[in-house]
Amino acid sequence: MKLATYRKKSPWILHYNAGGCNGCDIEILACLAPKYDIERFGMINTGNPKQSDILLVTGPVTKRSRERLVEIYAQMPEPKVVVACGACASTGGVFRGMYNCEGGVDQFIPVDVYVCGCGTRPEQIIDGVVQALAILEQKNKDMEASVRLNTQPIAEDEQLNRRHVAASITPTPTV
Amino acid sequence: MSHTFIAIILIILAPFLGGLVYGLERVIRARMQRRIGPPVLQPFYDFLKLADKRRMVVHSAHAFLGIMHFVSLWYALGVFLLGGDLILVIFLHLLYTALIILAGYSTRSIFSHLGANRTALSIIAYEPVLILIAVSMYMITGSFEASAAFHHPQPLLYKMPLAFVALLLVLPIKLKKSPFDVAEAHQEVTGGVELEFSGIYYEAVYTAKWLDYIFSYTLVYLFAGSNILLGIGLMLFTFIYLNALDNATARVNYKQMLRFSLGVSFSLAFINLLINSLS
Amino acid sequence: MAQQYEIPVGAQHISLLEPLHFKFTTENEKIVHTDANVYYVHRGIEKACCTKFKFRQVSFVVGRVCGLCSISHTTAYSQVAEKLLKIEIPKRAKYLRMLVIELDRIHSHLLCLSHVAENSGFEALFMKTMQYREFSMELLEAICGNRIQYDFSIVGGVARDLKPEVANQVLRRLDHFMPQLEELADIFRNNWTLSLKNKGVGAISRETALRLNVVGPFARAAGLAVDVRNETEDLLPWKEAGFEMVTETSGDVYARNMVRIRELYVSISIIRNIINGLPETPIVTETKAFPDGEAVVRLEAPRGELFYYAKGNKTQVLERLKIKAPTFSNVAAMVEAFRGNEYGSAPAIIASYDPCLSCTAR
Repeated sequence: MKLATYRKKSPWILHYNAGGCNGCDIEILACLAPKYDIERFGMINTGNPKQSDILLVTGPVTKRSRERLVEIYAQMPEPKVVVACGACASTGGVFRGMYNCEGGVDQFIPVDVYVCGCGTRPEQIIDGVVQALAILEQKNKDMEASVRLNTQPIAEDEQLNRRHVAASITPTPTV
Repeated sequence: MSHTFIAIILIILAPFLGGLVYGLERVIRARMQRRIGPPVLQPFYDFLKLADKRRMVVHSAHAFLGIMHFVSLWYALGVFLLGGDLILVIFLHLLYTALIILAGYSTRSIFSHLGANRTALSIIAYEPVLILIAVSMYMITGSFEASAAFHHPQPLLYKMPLAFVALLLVLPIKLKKSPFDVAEAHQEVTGGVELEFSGIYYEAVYTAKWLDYIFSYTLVYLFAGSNILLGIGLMLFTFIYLNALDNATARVNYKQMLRFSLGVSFSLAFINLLINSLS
Repeated sequence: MAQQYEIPVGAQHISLLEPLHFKFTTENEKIVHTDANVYYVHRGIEKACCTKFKFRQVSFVVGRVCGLCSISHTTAYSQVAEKLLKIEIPKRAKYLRMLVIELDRIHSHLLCLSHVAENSGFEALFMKTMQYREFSMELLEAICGNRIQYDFSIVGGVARDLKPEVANQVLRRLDHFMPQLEELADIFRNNWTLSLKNKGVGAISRETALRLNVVGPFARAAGLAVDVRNETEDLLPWKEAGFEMVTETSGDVYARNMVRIRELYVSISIIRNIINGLPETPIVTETKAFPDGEAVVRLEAPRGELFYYAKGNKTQVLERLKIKAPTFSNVAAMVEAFRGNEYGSAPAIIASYDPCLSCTAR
């Protein structure tokens, strides 16, 4: 259907800092500013998980942030895309192996786009979000297909069970 | 009869027109902030996207209140455009706000509660002024019917300029524009009553915002009487004024808003009423 | 008695850049009590610096403590390591460090001002300040090679030299920025609705500030003339570069804005002095020694006094590294200054503290 192509033109973003150094966060803020202006793509920084499509996560996930991160992810309605901004959100970066860090967002929630760099440049963030739009459209189609064929029960789709995730964390030995 | 015909077409098209106004406003606001801004049709893209999102309902009454919020405003707008009783229109409009306040209180979210509190306070701020304007119109046209104002030969603006100023001062409260946007202050209560809505139910609230634009601009148009050109001019002026005001002011808190609205806007409307009743 | 609402702000909230949690107890939206929870970002950097990384690598790790004042962290660490190595760095390196610290201060203060504007509900001013701020980011990129994590200071000097054409570009862009700064200062000083939101809000008295050991622009807005740049002269020659103390008296959000804006003027004049009087010396002192003994360094970061303690034991790895960030000193006063204010002002007050919790929690 032709209308479906318009759906990816309105991504609303939600930003969460899972323990990073603020560097990527201020670059996300700079993306909103006139020089980069991501509202060109229809993006609004909503700050409300229930109305957002794209979750921008920065920072290596610290032990205290991880529950909030998963909670926020679980509150977002499908279809949703997670963009890990920066080296430490993607892999843990320089913080990998520190005793209070988990090393990477993808240990807890499925990440669709990894944006590299420490700190990420606004151009990279915009590029990552635009890539996320294509994934968002694909997820949208997948969701429609599963509803139409009625093949996938709701319990088995991408929706995360928070308890399940929280239990799977392996305690890293303190150095 | 052509008036009724136009009114019915306007009522049917109201959400689309409102969306266009909202889209234009976002572009103008972005340009005022030296940005490029979203495309004009952005609200409709948002609309299509929200229709596709998974439905997450807090509880069924909450979702129902959200949808009734939209329906009741459309109904109020219909009565208004068809030339119904102004007082009835204002109270139907009150009903529309009351529904969203109930929705806000019906959830457990603290921000939703705060937003509901603040929406209720903003009703206190703008509703008396609207009623005084309706009464002033009655003084001039001799009828509470909106159609009497639409067909009044001489523009009402000339006889009640102070009321128009009062309306301009309360419109930012109603449309949640910058100095008086306490009800949905994003940095404070992250949207207030809209907070818990998502997916298609948020769409109802979102679209009600567009209808609110049409409602407000119709209120402005009322001041032009049968003079269509003046009406369009007034609406354009109000549009630019609202956006300029939005971009030139910080948000005041709700006490300052109430003090200002009941102190300045209400007294302006009241003085206008006195002058109208004396002359 | 009015009904009490407990409003949680954080860990994720649109007015917050980083995870921090405030719990406001309010009556009729008036804040009667505040709880702050600031340790969401604890990563264990100090421990890692003493175990995983060699002492020359640590200056890059501590830069990642905070993205906003990374140059302050790297410089403070480099200085403390140089004290342990007992070396003196060339004068040009000192001047270049000061140059980047001041440019960083400009970008940090402008970010804070724009954040205050946004949280006061003044979206246009936020956009304007962010737009004007871009020049400092571009200059930092031209000087250091990256927009936020500069890694400019290394142990023994600085990583890059300042090219003459870049120096000219800095002076030219600063000249271009001056009228824009005047414009911003005018709006922050005179906008009526902004003054309703900022004047007399979040105020803290001089006595309380002194008692709670406040540092940085927060303290200077309350009338305390505390600035490390005024006190230390041995490591970085601030007074030679034309440092002036800036203080206000009222201690509210407005005063903090004013302190930041006036400090921008000071920073600009310092940068001009540095570039005009840049000595021609090498930029790095080479040494093969290992850190030994104990040392303490204080440095004025954009948010206040940054404190580094290090202890070496003649090996590649430090024995202990302690960082005390400026926001850590301010948390007690932050909680204090909320009392009696409207909840509606709380986001603007939070922004005006310019809290840096990744510094605090490390």
